[in-house]
Amino acid sequence: MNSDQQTISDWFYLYSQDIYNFLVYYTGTRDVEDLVQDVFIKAGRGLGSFQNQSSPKTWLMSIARNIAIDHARKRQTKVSLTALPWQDATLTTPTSDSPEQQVLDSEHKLALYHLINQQKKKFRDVLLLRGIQGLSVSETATILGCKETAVRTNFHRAIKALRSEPNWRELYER
Amino acid sequence: MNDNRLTDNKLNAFPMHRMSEETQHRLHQNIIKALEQPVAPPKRSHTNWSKARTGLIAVAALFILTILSINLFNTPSNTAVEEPSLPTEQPGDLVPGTAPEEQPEEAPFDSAALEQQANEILQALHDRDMEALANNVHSQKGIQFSPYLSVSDSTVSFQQSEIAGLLSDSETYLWGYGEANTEIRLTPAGYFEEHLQIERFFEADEVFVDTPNEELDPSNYLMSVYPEAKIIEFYHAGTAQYSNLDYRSLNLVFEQEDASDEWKLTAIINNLFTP
Repeated sequence: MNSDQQTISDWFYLYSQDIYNFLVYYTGTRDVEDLVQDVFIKAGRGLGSFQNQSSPKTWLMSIARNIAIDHARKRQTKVSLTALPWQDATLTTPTSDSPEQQVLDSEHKLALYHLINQQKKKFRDVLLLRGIQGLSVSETATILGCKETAVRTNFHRAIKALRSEPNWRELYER
Repeated sequence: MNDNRLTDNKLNAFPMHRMSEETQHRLHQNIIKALEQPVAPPKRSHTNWSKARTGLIAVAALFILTILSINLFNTPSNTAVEEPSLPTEQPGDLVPGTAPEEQPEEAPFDSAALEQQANEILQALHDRDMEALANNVHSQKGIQFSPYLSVSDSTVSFQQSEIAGLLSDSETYLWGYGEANTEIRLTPAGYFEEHLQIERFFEADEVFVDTPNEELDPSNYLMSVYPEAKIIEFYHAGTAQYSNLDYRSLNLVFEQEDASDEWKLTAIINNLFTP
């Protein structure tokens, strides 16, 4: 094993569970093992472009997000002319085996997860990264390639948007 | 304040999903095995189905263009145009009435600035300045390349991080199908050389900025594929010598970055007569 492979191997054992968890929520299915694999292969091949300005974890998360977007786009292009935005179609269209059901066991969590997925993309991104994954503002900004102020603003607005949903109070604040 | 904290807590309470140790070890083995291989695996799997589909789309586009070219001078405005149905459905019954947040935020768009950006990209492509190109590529969506007016599952795409080293990539990709359904299988450098032909567009006959070119794309196909995009099209008109069939255009597709709201390149799509 050369040094690059050793680095990826180390990172895999340190971060693969985080990447897996992130991809499960980002794609709405637990069938993300291939994507996890792709993330680390891509990272291994592009290790030269890793700059130490970000942590390995945020770098891997940004690769994971790109791969998830690409994956969704590839699936989505089949119906791209009439489809909803990719994240909605990917996550909210009921399927026979309801992968979301496998992801979330609680009805309330499932409903909240659906609400999150119905938000506009920039809100959804911060809700998933900052809210569900519990990443810091700085980590979220690095992954999304934006400024920290944008993360703060979008997160604040996203929470507000969630709370203005008609069934929010009934479901979550009783 | 407390309400926001409550919402935060709800979000933090989502369960953590983990792979089993066995799965982890299996993936680790696969990854190391893949990294040990000197040649990268094919970027995309090209099934017969996707080949057939790409071919069909190309034939359909060709058919429309042929009809158009025959009727061009007789029926300038009322040619058969199949408008794809617009994605008007909203996801579920989320918000009764009109909620302000549901209104699509009209992206700030300065057409002159975008045209300038497109010209800079043209120059970067011509100079093979891949750093400059990378700076203009969408950081989340990457960039797609199509040698003709068709975008499908098998359209070649690259992430922004791959652009800087793209021309030294020795792998060949299947970019599409050319004459007699022959494969266009080239390295990125080969594709740039043979299929972008940037030089021709420095003296474009016309530049369409976020305006459909009704002659070449009557059904507004590109906007249906990239509904949120702004497209700059460099158009080189055909000549009488070749019955105008030697037209060519280069479409630079821009989409907004999520957070910064900047317009970034997500596709470079050629449009030309494909016999």
